[in-house]
Amino acid sequence: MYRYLVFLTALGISIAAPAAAGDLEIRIGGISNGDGRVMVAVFDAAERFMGEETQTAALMLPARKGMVRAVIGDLPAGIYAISVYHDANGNQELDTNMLGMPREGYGFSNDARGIAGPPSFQAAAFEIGADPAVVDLRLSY
Amino acid sequence: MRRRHFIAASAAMAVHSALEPGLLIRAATAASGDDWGPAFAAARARKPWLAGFETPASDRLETPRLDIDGVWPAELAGAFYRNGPARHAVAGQRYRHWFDGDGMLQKFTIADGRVAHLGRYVATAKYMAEIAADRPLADGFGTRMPGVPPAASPDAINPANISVIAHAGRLLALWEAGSPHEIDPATLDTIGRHAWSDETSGLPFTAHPRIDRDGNLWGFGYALFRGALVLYHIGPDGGLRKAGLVPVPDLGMVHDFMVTARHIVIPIPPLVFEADRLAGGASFLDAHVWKPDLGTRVLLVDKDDFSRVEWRRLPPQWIFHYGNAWEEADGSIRFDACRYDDPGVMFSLLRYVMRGEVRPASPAYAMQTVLRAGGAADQQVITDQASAEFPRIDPRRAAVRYRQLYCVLGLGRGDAAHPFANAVARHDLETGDWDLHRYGPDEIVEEHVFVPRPGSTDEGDGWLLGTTLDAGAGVTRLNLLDARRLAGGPVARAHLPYSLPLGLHGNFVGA
Repeated sequence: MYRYLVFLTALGISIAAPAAAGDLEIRIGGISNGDGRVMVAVFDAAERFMGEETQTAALMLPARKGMVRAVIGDLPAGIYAISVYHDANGNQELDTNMLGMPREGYGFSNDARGIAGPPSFQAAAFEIGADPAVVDLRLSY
Repeated sequence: MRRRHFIAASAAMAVHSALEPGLLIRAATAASGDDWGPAFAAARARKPWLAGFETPASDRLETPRLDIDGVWPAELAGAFYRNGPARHAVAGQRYRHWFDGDGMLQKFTIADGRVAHLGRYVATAKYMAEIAADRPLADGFGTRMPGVPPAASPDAINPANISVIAHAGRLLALWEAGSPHEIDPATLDTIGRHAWSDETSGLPFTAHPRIDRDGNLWGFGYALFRGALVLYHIGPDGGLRKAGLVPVPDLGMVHDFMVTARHIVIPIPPLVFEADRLAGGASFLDAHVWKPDLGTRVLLVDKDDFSRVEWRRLPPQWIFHYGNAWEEADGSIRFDACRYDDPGVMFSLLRYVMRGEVRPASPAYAMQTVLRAGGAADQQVITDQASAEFPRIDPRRAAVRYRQLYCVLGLGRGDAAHPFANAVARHDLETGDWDLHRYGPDEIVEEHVFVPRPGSTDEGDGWLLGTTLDAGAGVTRLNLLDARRLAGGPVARAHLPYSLPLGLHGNFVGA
């Protein structure tokens, strides 16, 4: 399943109240400024984690200094992991330096960190079950 | 003073530690039951010189007019900036290495025969976040803090605590594994991380860039997870001329390098970073393994074309600092260094001093090295009985043939009140003569920098400017010496009403 959701409200905030089973609320903090967008990808398996076009769901949220939040509904029960980056210049890429180190803010569910690279799917994994899930994460710059 | 007299005047020096390959790993995770803070406090009560490893009482130190002795020459006008680790604990959690704490800049403004002092922390992302959270959020160079996740980036843990340099109108506070921080030279406000380009943003940048006589800034950085050295050429206007990568297997911490007229010269000591050890919980320092069988590889890179490299080899040795290098007509490269037999000092003395202990380590010998055009190499000892550090030169001789080498020395260790340097010295590389001043028994001698006398052109015509921590009086002093007659002692001194944490490196910026 692959869905591409774009939230672009007049306020620059997407707001929905998680209520139902399968709903996932994502709260992304630590955003340094309101330039560009916050790009969110949700993965449902280790073998698809951080792949090209292998997300279960993806969101583009208008950036906002501090925090943005979004809700994705109707996700099947299972194990997921989220990666996020702040596409401040709007080029739809995580910009990097000549060693491939991110030059824009990024983060993962569980605030998982890898050593000199992304964390493992397991380190970022969380469960969506019978209850609505809430994931808080902070971007690092 | 002739070399033989110099050696005769030096008593038996620090004991060699027997470091075996692969035995450098130490438990260094600060954890519950941590006793480093109490151990330091107890030792501090007995050893006044440990003031040099205390966190300052205030995050801003300011004295508009220092008490002075002697005459500060009116022609000496400018600011002497120094940097060094100063915030040695976060929320009561004491770091376990001298090199860990957040950098504090010390500015001595010299004008009209008067001296003023201002000290302020570099407002790095790490410093600001930890102040706000009032708990450790980042590991240090030699300390794993409990519950702190891996760093999001090198700059997330960058304490900007090693040196400070002015180039192209910018004052830059330097670490060695992340970005420089640009500083307001008047107020010491932190302007922010500096990047010369998007491509080099966030890359490691040395604490010891070299400025040549044309105003070019040459730098390097070690990218250990990529097994590569980054090279930088910044033009006199402050713009990036070029950057490059040189892959290096078995890479580890590399603290300093040199340039000659034609080459970048980077000796790579056999202290090898093993990422698995970091993943296994070792500190960054303890993730390094001493592998003397590798020898010291010396990378030579063409300054005009970073893809043109040559390799040379020297015996295994640990070096923090080089004074200068130059290239003869036949292509032979000559340089000086303060050379340790192994990196034990970094794992012993400079670690355990943070709990107030003095552990023995091999001393540093001042050495001259010749890399001959044919590939052979010679190394010759300049001092073999006094520990030498912080080599500096007259900047007018950067990357060309030079004669005068300045450094600090640890003389006569047997009766010393502290285990650090107690003298400042000049060595004439052509005659072998020494000219030195030994400070008082309670004074720890920090790096002294050469300041050319305005209007002069001859090498060595100028002053040495450097700080000392007088543990007896509990104050830090700024000292000015005639660089041609160090034996006469300071021609002027300025006395702070407080002590500063011992720092690392600095530079003078003329008004």
